[in-house]
Amino acid sequence: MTTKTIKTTLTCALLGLSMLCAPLAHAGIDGSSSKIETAIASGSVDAIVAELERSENIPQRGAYDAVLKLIDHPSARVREAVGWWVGRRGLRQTVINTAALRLAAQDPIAAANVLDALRGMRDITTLDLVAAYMAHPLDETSGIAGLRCISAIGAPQGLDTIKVSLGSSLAGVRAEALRTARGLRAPVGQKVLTTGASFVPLLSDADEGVRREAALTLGFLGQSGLNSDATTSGLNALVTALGQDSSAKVRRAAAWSIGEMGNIAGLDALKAAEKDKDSTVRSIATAAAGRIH
Amino acid sequence: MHVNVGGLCPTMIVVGGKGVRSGFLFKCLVGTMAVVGAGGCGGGGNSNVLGGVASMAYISQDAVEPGNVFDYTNGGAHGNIFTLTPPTASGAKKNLTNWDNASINSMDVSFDAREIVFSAKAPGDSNYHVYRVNVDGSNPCDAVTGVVSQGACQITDGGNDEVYPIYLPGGRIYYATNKNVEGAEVPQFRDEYERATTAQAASMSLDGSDQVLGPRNVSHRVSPALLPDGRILTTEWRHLGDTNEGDLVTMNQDLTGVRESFGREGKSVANSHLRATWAAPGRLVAIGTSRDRTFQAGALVLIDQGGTDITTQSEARSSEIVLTPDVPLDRSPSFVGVGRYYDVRTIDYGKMKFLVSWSDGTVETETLTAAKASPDFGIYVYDANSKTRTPVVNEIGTWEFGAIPIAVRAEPPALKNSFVATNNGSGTTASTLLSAINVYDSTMFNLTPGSAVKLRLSEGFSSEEGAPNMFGLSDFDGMSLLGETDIQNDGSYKALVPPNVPVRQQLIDKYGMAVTTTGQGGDTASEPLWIQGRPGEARVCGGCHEDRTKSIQLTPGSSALQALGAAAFDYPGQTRQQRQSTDYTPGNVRGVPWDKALQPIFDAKCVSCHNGQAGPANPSYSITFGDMSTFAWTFDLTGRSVDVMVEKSTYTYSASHISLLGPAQLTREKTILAQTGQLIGYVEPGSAHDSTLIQKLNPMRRYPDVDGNDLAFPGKPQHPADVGGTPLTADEYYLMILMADNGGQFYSRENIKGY
Repeated sequence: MTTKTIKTTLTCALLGLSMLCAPLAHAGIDGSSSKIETAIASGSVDAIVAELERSENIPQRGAYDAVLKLIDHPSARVREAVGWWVGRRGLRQTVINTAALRLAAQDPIAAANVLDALRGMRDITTLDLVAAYMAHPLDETSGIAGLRCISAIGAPQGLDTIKVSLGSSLAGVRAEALRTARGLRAPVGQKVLTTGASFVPLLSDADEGVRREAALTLGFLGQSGLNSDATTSGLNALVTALGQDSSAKVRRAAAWSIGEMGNIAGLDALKAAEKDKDSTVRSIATAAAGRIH
Repeated sequence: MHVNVGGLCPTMIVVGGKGVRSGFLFKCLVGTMAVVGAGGCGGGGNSNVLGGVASMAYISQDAVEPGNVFDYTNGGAHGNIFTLTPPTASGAKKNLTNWDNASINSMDVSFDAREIVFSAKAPGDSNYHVYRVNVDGSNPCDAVTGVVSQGACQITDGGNDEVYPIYLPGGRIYYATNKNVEGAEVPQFRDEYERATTAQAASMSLDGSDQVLGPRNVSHRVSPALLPDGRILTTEWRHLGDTNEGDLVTMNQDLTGVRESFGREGKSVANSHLRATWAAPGRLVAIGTSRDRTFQAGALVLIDQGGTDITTQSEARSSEIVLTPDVPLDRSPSFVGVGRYYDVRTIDYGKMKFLVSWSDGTVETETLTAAKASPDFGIYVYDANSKTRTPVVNEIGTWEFGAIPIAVRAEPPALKNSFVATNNGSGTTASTLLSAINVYDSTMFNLTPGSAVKLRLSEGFSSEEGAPNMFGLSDFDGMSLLGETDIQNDGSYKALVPPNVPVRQQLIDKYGMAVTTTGQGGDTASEPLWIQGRPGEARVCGGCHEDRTKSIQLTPGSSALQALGAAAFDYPGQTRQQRQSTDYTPGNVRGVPWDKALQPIFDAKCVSCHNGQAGPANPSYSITFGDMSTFAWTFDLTGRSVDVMVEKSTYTYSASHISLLGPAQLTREKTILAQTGQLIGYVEPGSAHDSTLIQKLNPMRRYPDVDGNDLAFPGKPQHPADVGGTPLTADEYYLMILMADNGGQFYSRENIKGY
């Protein structure tokens, strides 16, 4: 019992304030199997996630079967929390085995669900499993789920899968691959991404969402000085997108990313964009220009 | 649907006594119904429940399960911002945003009452960003350039979220963001459960430029408000060890000077306080509630900060009272007629009238979902004297919340940190200076002068660095030693630490352990608290949780404010990844990776006896769980990887880690039917002094010099020498103690996968 709990309990007992003095939460040791099962029965996403979190550090063996069934819960929040929960227990390999079977089968919903669970588990040993699936994802939803799993794991080894996914025929997968690229963790003293050159062509993608994510990824890299100088294609490509892309969402992202790069060479383009026909592009261009000194 | 209730309202709503409204959830939009405490529901009365304020703004969106009180990305759909002018039933309702499927996080009204800043996930967007809109619905960004247009203007974009914006003096905006001050390539901290990405303090200019990212807590900072004296008040998720709560802190407008405000000294009656706002000098109103399952709603609480201004306020003397005594403070279902409150602002403190968002009935996720129902938050005026509510607006099928009177308010003064740490004369340092005038000056700990010889400084981090979901069989996050500096004869110390990094301070004794003490702060002088500073900021305290009302005189140029002579634990030029042990000797050790730093000691000096072979040196125990399955374990200090059904063991913990940390976890299992043998938690995470392991090893004095005849636990044997084994060296003791004091983790930067 923490000092705070002891003090509060004593104070409440002395004052007779049992109605007012609620038990204070501990970090993951307040739950029980029965509470988990009751939450599951209610169908409440919040209650299920809360009870799993509250039993973070308690084995809760009695709830194993019920929790495992949640891998196919309608809510991705629950599926992700289930992966997190089982990953801390002896169930981890059970879920990995399930994932291997599902990802080798032909049911995209089953695949997406188990990938959400793996995302919560964040087990680096599942990277190969996910990467194999991402070579030929069954559909866009499961492909996105696979990439989010790689992003959650964050290991730099996921970069190969991202590169493959950038060439996917599924626009949502290409866009998610760009987001995932921003989520990888660099090894000590290194960078995961050493150039943004491979992302520049995606600024010409047919899909608006892909172009927007490409712009944001170039801005992300530009914060670290990659492709952000006036002689490299990253900044120039963003300037072109800001001036010419038909989508306001893309122009807005391009403006923001030029600001992220912070290079004065991008300032003229931002000033010009302050007269864009879209008011959101105008305001973001102003914000971005104000960040270039 | 816009419902004018008038005579439709079946009766008034009264909480806690006379005339309790029962029954069903009903819908009111009543401005003229000010019949409070007198029974009945009818017209007449005050024509403006906001005391004459001409208009108010509020958020309307679909019901949702928003997550725990710190979650900021689960807002409801179909959100829009409205004004109601006047705030009465006959008032004109105007939709300022006109979005068809956005999610609004929160909003604030400018000091001149001309515009609103808000955070929203716009239709088709992936993240929450900051927007501004004039209260007449026009675009303030275009207006600056002479263009007249309608609708909100967006001032942030990108792949991060920016939430909880509030206006600051001097044309700036405070907000919370998951962008990392350490740079784009470094993942942001994860929360207590190593799940959500944390939201941290930030500010920017009104036009979205000049973004400043603040120093980081290990977890979220959410639901801020600006106090009239210029400080920012926000809820901070506090977790260190098994502490897990939402407390109030204040900071300066430049994101310096983070200071405890309420909730950390056993004064609170609820686990978390959020959406706190100013009520009167030295008084705050807030929502007090459970961390989860209450739709982020709870009771209305009034907090006394212990003084009317910052010079007299002290959390040690703070207190709170519950304004809505029937509302549960935990997560138990609320009753009909009682409900729960989502947010609160003060209308008239003298009359104890508050503008609130409230939902009747059960406001608890599990119960409501099982009933296939949702709470229905609407906006009311709450009279804390009569315990009555007067409806203002409540639409069918949507939540209304975040109500703010659109009224001019005084712009507080700009506040900045007045301290600047300097280096040894060659200019301002980019590090953070931590110092104390006298560590024995404390309201929380009874510290014996001279009992502390050093101050240990460690930085905290979470699993975003590549650790698995847990750092080991304890509740502690990742910790890495920055260094230990001497406590001077006058009780002072000072040290430079990396900026923007959460740091824990521990006073340590001559044996190298966290100092034992008595008092309300606990049995070790190691408050579970992270502190942090911006580059160049000096965080100077009078003592270790000294009386906050005591005046501390620091003249400009005081040595306490200068880095001159400070211990250099700032590692300039090194990223946090690079702050790792070069070896595991004192001075070079940072993290204590169990397999690399400790297991060699076990192998050399322990496993000849403690090898997992059942016997006197290796006691066994077994547990029968509720499902009749069993777990049996024999004490074993070898480094063999264990894949047994100690539920978290699949993270390749060694037998030694399970033997020393595992039993404490197993005792938390509430379905244990029977057990044989004794379950002993040999390591008490966070306290070497209280750890059975350390007591058995009985370390020798380390400071000021090693003395094998001065033992930490006099009169007790020193193991393993007491059984003829080879004694641990002083440096080996050091590692064992550091491991226990810093949480007993298996993983640290030095042995996590992913790098």
